[in-house]
Amino acid sequence: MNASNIIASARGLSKTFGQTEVLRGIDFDIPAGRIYGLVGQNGAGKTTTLNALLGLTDSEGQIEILGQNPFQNRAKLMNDVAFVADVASLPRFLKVQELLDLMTDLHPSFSKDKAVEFLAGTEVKPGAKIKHLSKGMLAQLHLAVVMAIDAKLLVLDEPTLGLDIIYRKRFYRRLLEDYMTEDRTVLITTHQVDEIEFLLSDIMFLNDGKIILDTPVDEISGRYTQVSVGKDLLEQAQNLNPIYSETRFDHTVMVFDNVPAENLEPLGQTSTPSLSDLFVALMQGKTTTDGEV
Amino acid sequence: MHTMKALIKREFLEHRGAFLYAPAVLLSIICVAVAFLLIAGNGELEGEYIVAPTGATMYTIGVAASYIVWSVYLTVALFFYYADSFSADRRNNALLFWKSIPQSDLKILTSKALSGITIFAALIFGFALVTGAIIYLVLVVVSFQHPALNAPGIFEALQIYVQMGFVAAIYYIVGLLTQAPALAWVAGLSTLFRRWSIPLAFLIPGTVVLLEFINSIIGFGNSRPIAKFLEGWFDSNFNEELAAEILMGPAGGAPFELLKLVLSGTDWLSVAIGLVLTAGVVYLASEYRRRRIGA
Repeated sequence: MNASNIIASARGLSKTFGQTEVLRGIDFDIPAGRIYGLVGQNGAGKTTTLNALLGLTDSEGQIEILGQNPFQNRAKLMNDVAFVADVASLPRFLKVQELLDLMTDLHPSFSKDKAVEFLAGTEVKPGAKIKHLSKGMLAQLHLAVVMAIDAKLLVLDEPTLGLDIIYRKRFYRRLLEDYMTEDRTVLITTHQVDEIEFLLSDIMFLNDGKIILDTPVDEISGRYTQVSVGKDLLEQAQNLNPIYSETRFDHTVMVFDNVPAENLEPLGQTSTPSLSDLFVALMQGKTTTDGEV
Repeated sequence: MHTMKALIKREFLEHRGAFLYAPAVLLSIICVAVAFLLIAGNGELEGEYIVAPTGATMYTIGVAASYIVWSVYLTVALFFYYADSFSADRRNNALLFWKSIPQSDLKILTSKALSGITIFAALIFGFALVTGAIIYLVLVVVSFQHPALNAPGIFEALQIYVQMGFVAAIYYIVGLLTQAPALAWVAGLSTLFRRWSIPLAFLIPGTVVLLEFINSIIGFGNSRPIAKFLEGWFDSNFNEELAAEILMGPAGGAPFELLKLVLSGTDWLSVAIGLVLTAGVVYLASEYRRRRIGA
């Protein structure tokens, strides 16, 4: 990885709230031009990681965005970093037009023309009061606002939380089609991994304040294999040390890490696990049977 | 400067209800009520005038009264504004949005502090100016209905209007500078306690003064520094009786005599100390805001 290409990096990033250690010395590098998915269970430390990256909270360890400490230089960094932490956070006392005018005055990298263009195909009207917009419309407006910022890094923290499936799909499609370029980097956290799998270039799994996987998505197929194993070959499969296995009716689904394909193919039908399957496999890492969660 | 103007405009958009719409409604209601009284009046005055004040004096008193009433409105509105504005961005998680703007917390809170003494004070002063013009129209109408009362001529009225406007502008500025630490006090409390800042702004000094009083009664010492400071702050050196005398006297020299009275009655050292304290509160509040994004 070329060091000059790194947009964000962390070394030994830690954060403690009272007695609770939320981040336990995590390390990562995020290069430019990538779409990173940060996935973890509730309380895994995703939002704390993002807050540290965005300079919204102080933390221990070393963290840099575009070569600067985000907590010390948040205001300056926001010229090149855009984020949506909560689509409902837009100021409700403004009308849409007033918001765009204010953004023009307050954000040097914001283009009102682009925002208007993004909003053109939506139900959001310039004269509408933000407090009267539905949650879906708020998401459209917020996305239009951040996409109109010429930022090097866009951070989205559960951007589609509470939105219906139509808005969620529209949100991500626009992000990919209208915003993403090779100079831009996007970091997304979400619970709905399956919905963003198609747009991610890299994935990071966070568990209990630690990173348990940080890899390009296209390397997953070369490393992890999912096999549907029949009862008769179960013992043979167990000998290859699956990282996860789950019994479904008359067969067992197992996930293997770095086991050659020629060893797995005789056991049953092989495939690449989806991100959500891999997430479950890495988080649970134990044998489950029907009905177990 | 450009971004500071934009941030102040943001404050105006958020709080225009208290400083634009509410005063406009209030003034409209008063205008309608006065117009109704003028139309419904029977054209005769009850009682007799021993000495009717001149039209210029009446107009000067009327204009001065309107400035004082509007300054009271401004003080109350600013108190409630500062009791909310430093924590207002936390409502509905909006702080997360404002943190995504490339403007520092110190700059944003400075814009809030400045909004009160610039745009909002100017708006209320504007309403006072409009009220001054309305008072003249009312005097003209009344002088037609009651020949015993004279309205000043248009040029004389204009002279009083401009001179009193100038004096009132100084009065407003001095008043805001004097009130700055009190407004900063409630703003600082609102940073920590939000709406609870309103009762706490009175409860905390009240408790301290009470404890000082109890302490002096039980004999642990008679000095009551906080009580004396607050007493001195509330009991300004402004001589209201002399101001009334000036207003009731010949109108010609009244504005400048009032100006001298306003300026001489101001403790400039206290004002300077108050402004330093105010700047300190704004800085500390911005550091708190920089570190805390949660409720």
